[in-house]
Amino acid sequence: MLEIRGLSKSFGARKALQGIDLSVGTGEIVAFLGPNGAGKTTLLKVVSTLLTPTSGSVRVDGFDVTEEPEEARRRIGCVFHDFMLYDDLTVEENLAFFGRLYDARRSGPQLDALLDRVGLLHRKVDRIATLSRGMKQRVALARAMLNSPRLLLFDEPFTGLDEAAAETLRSFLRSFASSSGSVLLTSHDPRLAHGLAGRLVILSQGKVAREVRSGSIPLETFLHDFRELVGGVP
Amino acid sequence: MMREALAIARKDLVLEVRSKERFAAMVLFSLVVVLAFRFAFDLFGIHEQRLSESHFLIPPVLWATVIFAATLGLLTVFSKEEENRCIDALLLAPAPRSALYVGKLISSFLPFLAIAMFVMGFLAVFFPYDFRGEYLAVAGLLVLGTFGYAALGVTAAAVSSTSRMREVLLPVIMIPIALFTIIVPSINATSDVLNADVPGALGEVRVIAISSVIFVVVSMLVFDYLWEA
Repeated sequence: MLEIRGLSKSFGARKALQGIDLSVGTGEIVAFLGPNGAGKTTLLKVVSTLLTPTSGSVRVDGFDVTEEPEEARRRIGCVFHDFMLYDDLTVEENLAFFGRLYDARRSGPQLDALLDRVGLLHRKVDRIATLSRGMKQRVALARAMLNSPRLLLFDEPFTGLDEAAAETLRSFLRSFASSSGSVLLTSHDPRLAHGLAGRLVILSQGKVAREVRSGSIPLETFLHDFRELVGGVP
Repeated sequence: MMREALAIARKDLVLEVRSKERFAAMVLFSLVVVLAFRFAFDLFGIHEQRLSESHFLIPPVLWATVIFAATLGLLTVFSKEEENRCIDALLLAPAPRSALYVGKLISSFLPFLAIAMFVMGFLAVFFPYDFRGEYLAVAGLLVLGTFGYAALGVTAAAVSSTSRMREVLLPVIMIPIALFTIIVPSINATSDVLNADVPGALGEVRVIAISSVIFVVVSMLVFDYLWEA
């Protein structure tokens, strides 16, 4: 689903990503971990086509993000730290607008079904500005699902969520992955990532410092390794 | 591409109608500018009788007011997109990024045109001036001129949108380019219409039309690259 080969990204003299190699298969959940500034968000932005790589290649479902960005975008859904929603439009209006924009126009009942899936059908006529952070994230998730993506990019999905909302989100992501979707997410919290992702990649200063399968390593051992590599566990 | 462009334009117009922030600011600003010109002419002893007969004074007042108000509007073309980084969601659409340009052009041009009509009304009331009955011809020039200014302005707004000095940068980028391609030809064309010089007006219209086409074509070609990091 996702092939990253020798990916580097620089901003002037600063190297945000250096020589990243990674493959994400269908149905996989892969978490990128690391402290602030490790390059996690930059990586997601390059995969999403918002940033162009300085060198190396990224292919989404076989489409190169530099050569065929529009085809790659058709296969990607994104939820970033800023939710990318218009505060002065209602939940329904936001989704209808992005549906038209993403060539994924949905009928009223289809939008209702999507909102029901993220538990926000009862708030569909409310403006985004009136929603809590957790609710906004769920609207952003509904927007990301509009074009039926094959790859979901999620930046710090659990930030600001209470335990119940976090569990709902974990269920959603597992369900998405089990229905032939792939998830690439970032987190600064190794405990949350270990409980959700099948593969954990620790980034440090723009490089892959360690890559492990979560089932192959106990949480305490992983936390120890994480502490050694990045200098602390939040 | 047009479907995405129309979706963006429609969304912008819904947001504008809902908030009325940009449009109200442009209307009030243009009213203040028209009144300022009116008082200035009074101070210099140019009174109603001379104003109603002077077909050379009105066109610069009309266009200066429209251009000032439109520039004010251009400062906020991408402001809604900057909230919550909505611009990223637009850039993630599986469509050419020129759709964003065309959408913004439509949603900028329509309010600018409405403002231009308001300014005509303000001049008719406060000067007072009857445009020698050539309302349709002057309105046609306003359509063409505001379109050309919006065609250039949306790209300039995109270039300056990420700058902290955007209020300074936008006019600095725009005015030198627009001066001899849109602003001066529009003033001349309006003067020619009011002085019944049709061939002169047509020559100026040709300059504005060609400039507008160039702005649209170049903007659509470069818009993809404006967002590359």
